[in-house]
Amino acid sequence: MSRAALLRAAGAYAEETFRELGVRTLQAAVYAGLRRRDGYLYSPDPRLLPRDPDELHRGLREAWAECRGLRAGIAAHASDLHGFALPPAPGPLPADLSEPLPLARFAAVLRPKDPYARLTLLTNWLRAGDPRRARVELAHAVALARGRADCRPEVLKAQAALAELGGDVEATLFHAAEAFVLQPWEPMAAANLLCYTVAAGSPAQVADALRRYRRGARGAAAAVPVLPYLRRRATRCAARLVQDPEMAALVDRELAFGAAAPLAS
Amino acid sequence: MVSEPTTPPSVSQRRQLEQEWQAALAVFRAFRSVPPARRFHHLGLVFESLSHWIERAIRTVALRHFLLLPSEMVLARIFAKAARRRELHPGHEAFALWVESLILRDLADPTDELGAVNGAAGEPSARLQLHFNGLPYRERALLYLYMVERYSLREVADRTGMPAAEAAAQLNRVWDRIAHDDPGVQLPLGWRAPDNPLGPPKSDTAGLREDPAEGPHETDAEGPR
Repeated sequence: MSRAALLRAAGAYAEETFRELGVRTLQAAVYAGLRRRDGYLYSPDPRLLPRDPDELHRGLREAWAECRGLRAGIAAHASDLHGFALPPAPGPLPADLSEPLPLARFAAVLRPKDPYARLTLLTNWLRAGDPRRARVELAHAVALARGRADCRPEVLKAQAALAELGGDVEATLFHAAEAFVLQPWEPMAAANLLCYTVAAGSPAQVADALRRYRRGARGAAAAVPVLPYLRRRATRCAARLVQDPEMAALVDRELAFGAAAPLAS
Repeated sequence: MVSEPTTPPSVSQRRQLEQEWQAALAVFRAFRSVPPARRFHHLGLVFESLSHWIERAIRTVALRHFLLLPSEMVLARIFAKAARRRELHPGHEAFALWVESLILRDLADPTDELGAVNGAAGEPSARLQLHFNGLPYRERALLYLYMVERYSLREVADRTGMPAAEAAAQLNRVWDRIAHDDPGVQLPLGWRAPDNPLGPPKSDTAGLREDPAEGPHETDAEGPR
């Protein structure tokens, strides 16, 4: 066994372990975000969902401990890894794995070129009420997602959310509609389009969005708790439903909420 | 269709392989049971026990699909992925299939650098890998068997089911195309250029009449090295 081959293998092993730490941290951030109950309708890419959260957390702690050991061991024994670059030392692992924001920040440090890590951090800044930092992450995500069709719907949803926060109705509806066109089966894309249209669209646009919501999502939208989403506090959508009883009645009717008419009442 | 240039192992060889694989698995399991922070110190041992299995699988993939691979980099990468697994495959054949799937997946991924990086000294250059691996299967097979494995023209003809004269003509044609596209292309160590294996066009027919497989440049009929 040659020393060169062994060093190359050690370098590849270190890269793989750091990659695993990054993936697990991102998954832990997504999982913690899903568990959080703050009225935010979070619908991450299903590929980021962990299959077994307990195993995920155990593996995350292990990968982190191993990365620390690898870095120290390689630094002490080998300066040249024959073509493999040693990643920077990982920072401390967030102590509370149920808090999504610190995990998302850590994931973005570990995976700086991954648009999904940026989008996850962006979502968490939005949920933390920090649109300025969310905009910074959006700029990173847009640059990283260039040429990657799989990221496009998520980027569009983020652009719509930030445009809405900035009060740009036209851009909000444009990005939300484009995301819906790319993923008409995705409940979140449909719910977003509906919510933004209710917030700022004409009755005709709202009726059209309701039709698309019912038809496009093909039943999958029923799984989304759209009612609390439409009524989220301090949003333009909720304010419009309060100010405009006819609009609320239209949404109640089209979404077949029945006699209860929760939005109009 | 190109026939497999390998012979299956005998029963006793299979049994021995199985025992060796079990020994490698034991080393791997011992490595995984070491506390994560101390695993670095055990990497050498697990690499020693797994590397020849991975090398064997890489060679099988290269031969089965006639691919040029930066073997040392592939070995390092696959070792890393194997050593990160919670458990390895119970049999070495399944392990070899897993290695094959990884290599083919990475080659098919346009964002992956596999098949597009310079190999270690003596290995094919990145440009040659790209040219070679982008050829149709049949052309790759011809070049691989003759140039890399150094089969005689007769053996290449046997394996590919192609008449020797046609194989020779195709070899020249395909290699000329690569050399034309990339004038600076250099043959890696141990390769043999087609160099018109049946001789110049005028003597082609005469040579074929005497012995279709043995042209004036054909001096190594004993098969692969």
